Amino acid sequence: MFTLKLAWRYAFSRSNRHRSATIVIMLGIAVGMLAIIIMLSLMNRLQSDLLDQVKSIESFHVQVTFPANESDARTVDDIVAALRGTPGVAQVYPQVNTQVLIQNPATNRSTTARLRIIDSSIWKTENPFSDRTHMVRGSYPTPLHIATGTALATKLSLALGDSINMTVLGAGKTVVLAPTTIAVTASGVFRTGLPEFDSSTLVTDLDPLVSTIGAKRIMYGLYLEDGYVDNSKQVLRSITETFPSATIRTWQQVNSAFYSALTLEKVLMYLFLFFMFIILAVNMKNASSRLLHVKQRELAILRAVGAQKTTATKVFLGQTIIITVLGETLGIIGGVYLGKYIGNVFSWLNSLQYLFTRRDNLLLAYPFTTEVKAMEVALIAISVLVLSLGFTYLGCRRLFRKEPMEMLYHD
Amino acid sequence: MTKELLRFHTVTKTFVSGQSQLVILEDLDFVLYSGTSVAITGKSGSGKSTLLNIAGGLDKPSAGSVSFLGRELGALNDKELSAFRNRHIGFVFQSHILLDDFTALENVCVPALIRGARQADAVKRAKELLDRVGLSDRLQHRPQKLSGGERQRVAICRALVNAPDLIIADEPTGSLDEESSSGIETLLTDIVREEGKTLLMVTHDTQLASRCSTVYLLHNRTLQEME
Repeated sequence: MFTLKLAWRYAFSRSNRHRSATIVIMLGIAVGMLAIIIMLSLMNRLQSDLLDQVKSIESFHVQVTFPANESDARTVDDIVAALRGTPGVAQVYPQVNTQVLIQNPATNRSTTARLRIIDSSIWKTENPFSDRTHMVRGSYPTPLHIATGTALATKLSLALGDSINMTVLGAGKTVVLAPTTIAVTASGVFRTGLPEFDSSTLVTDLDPLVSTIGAKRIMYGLYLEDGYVDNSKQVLRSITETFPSATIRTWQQVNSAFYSALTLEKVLMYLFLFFMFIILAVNMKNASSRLLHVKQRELAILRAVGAQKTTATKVFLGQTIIITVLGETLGIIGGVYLGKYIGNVFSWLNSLQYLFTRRDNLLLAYPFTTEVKAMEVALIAISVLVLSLGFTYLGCRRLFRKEPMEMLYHD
Repeated sequence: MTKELLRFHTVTKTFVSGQSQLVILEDLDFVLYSGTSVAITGKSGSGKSTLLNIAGGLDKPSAGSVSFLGRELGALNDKELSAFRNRHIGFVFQSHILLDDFTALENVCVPALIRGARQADAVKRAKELLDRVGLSDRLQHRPQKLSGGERQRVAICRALVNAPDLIIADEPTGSLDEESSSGIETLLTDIVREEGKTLLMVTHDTQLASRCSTVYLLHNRTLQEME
């Protein structure tokens, strides 16, 4: 109790020189924590947003395909029903992903694109795809109508109601695929937030095109229930038992290159954070030395009146705990609060830049949000505390190599 | 009959600075008996403060040994040495060194609290001592708000709070004006006599030295008793 009282007094000494040192050190820790939390939570949210978009729009959670040469009497509806009955599967959407040549006769513009032929029900039911796909203009595609991504519509100078020609590879074995041109009408323009998707994707209804494209080219996209998205082994096993010849790929496998890039980015982010942490650690070491230095004389008095080295060390460790925990608390509160309004902060910075340059900054205009992970914050806070205590302990040990009288007259 | 409290046995103290060695005390033998008051005088730099620091366990001799009530100080570990300083020694330094962040009352309480005394007991004893030195109206003042003489009185109370066997005073009036010095001299010698303590003091002040039962001169690294 006496040690704790001494530690508190030393942390917030009324002697101005010492109190200002304490406050500066505490603010340093708070700012360091705040910077790390903001950085980490921004990156977490960016990554999880990207992954969610990839999972929901690009690849579903699991993709199931069947060999083209397999003779199977089961219809598309049979397969959908069987997959939907698998435990852990929330929804099943048959679709075909294929390259097409697309031409807008009204503007005489043409481009290659990726056609996603999908059951129209995906627009109408609640699922990750419809959650993340917003119709900017027009309506969902009905049979022989298409919806295009915003960037693709711009590329083709496409107006709603334009009739466009779409050349697709027809049904048959790979070596005998024959191109077929289909006339469809543009009915809507959508945006997903994934630039790659918006600039290259057309979506149309599956039913009228199944016979043209061929049922064997259908891929079944599965959305899983929440608990199975990142842990789908059980679901995959069940599907394999039902369809031994099927090829099953998870979203991680389908997007392995992208996933590897994200993993690499995460490693680089941690490296960056590590360097931030090193800077914080150097500051803490200097702060610890400073705190010990300014109290060296008083430490000598305590030793002279009978305080053991361990008692004096405990006082300074207590002081370090008080300062670090208060600094961390301020940093965490500030980090979480600022993270909550980070979009407003960037927006304000963008407005400021606009004021001087008359241009929007694309990066600042991005709708940033943050995702604070309690475990990460706790880990950082504990690491900072352990480092602070370590530096204080080592500082005390170094100091106590001196006799009390040397410490007393150190000035 | 007075008992032996402190014994220096062929104590040598050398300070090493780079290549050079400075011998401060050499083969010094000295015995201090309980209940006596001893003053040590000598030129500046003659080693008086070093002698006191070694006596109080704040410094270690380079050679020889120091024993207190028969126990050799060199054989004590940090815990034992700290307990020794806390229970047996009361220090009064020249520059009335107090803890800046603590009130006069708290400063006096610190050694008692380190000893493990109950807060209420420590406060009671500290108040008695501060009252005795005329500081009952300054209990809650911090050192910055006290005069030099008042701070030294607080330091004397702190030295006495654990009722130690030996009071070690290093030029207790050295940084005070004449008027304050006179008051502190009287206070220190009187209070030590009334409490039945032993006093080992370094001073340049001949008047203060004359109040002690024995006066030594530290000259040429050894002690000579003065008549």
